[in-house]
Amino acid sequence: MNCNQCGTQLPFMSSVCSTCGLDAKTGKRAAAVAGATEVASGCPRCHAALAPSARFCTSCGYDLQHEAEIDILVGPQLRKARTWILVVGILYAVFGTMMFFVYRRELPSDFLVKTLLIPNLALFVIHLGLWWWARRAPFAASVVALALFIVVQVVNLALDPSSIKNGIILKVFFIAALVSAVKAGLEANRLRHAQPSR
Amino acid sequence: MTEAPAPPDACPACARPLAPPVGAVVRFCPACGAALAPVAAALAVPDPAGRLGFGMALVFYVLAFLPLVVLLALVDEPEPQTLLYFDAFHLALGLVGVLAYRGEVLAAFGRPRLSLRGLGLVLAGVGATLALAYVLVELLGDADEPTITYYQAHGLPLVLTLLNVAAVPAITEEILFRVLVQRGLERAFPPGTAVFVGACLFAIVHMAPVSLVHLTLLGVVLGELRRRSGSVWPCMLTHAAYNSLVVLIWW
Repeated sequence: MNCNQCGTQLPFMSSVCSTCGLDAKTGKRAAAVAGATEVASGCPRCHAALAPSARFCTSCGYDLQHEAEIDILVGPQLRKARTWILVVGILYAVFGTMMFFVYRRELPSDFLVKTLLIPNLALFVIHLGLWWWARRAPFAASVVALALFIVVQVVNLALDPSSIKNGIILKVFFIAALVSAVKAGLEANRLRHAQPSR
Repeated sequence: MTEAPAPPDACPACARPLAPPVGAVVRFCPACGAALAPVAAALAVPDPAGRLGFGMALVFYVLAFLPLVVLLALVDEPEPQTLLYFDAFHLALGLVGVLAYRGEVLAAFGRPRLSLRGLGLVLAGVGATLALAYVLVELLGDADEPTITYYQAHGLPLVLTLLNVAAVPAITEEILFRVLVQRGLERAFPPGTAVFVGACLFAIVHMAPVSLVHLTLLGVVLGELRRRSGSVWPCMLTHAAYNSLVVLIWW
């Protein structure tokens, strides 16, 4: 069986074309081939709307097959950041709750709820949201997560300078993962614009 | 676009039918990528890059944010005088941004495209933000309200407080976020995502955990206003109005 979009012979038992990513059954482009992230939001290069089965952007001529190569180069860093966002979000929830019970005897309860429990649980919820969003837009979510993390550290630093060394190894790994994700996103954009216009 | 003949029904290079996405200009064949118009038209595709890159936008973000950090780290309860220095720094930074990127900034001060529907959406957005802010402050305390009681405690008159809280941030923050940062983000993200990322950064930079949610909402309203009106004037007015309302509610 051949792809009815580009004529490439389809792999055995498969309806998804390996060249243009068109799924013969659904008539849609498979996300995994044409870049796992931004297919639905339009052309990754010029953000114009895309026809569902197009291989090239009708507005700027960008070859969407290029996205598969870009995904091989930068996809792993972007997906790793997503896992880290979830891990750190869960840690906020765990530590916030744990510290609340540790200090419950010594400090007034409503003070602890306002300064410890609610901020940490809010951060947990925000990170869950970022984790969900990162599936569609890993680069954007990584930028926001990195900015949020730096600000949280700075606020903690201003409140209690000794807090910076708590979990320092984890912090370094998290920052490294997010920085590499942001760099990967910038590199992906650079590669998209480097492809010559046809 | 003023290409003389109507676009062909089929690609001249590969003969496949051209089914354009609704409302889009078809310059290239979606199947084989052949240019359908002369090369000049293909080259005329606007490059979203501009002069202001993503990196530059984040540099401005950090610069706007650093003095706050230093202030918080050094002083427990800053005097109003310190805050005035801080304002002066903000204005100077705004001026540097304006001078360095005068092309982008001047372009943002054009005549706005306004509509009644847009006005309604902005009013709804600001109302929702205020309501959310009120609920959060009453529920959790510790957001905008202490800033205002702080000004009161130091005996600053209402007019100066309004100048400090409403007028100056409306000008500086709008130039920083809605012009420079958003312009840089638009280079890296689709327009909607750029507005949302800019709104998140705008909220995060305020460093008040309680305000994160409603400031993100305000950032989205202002960012969309900037994008759809094509001008920063309406954003400044909206921002000043919102901040004034906050001051007047908690004064």
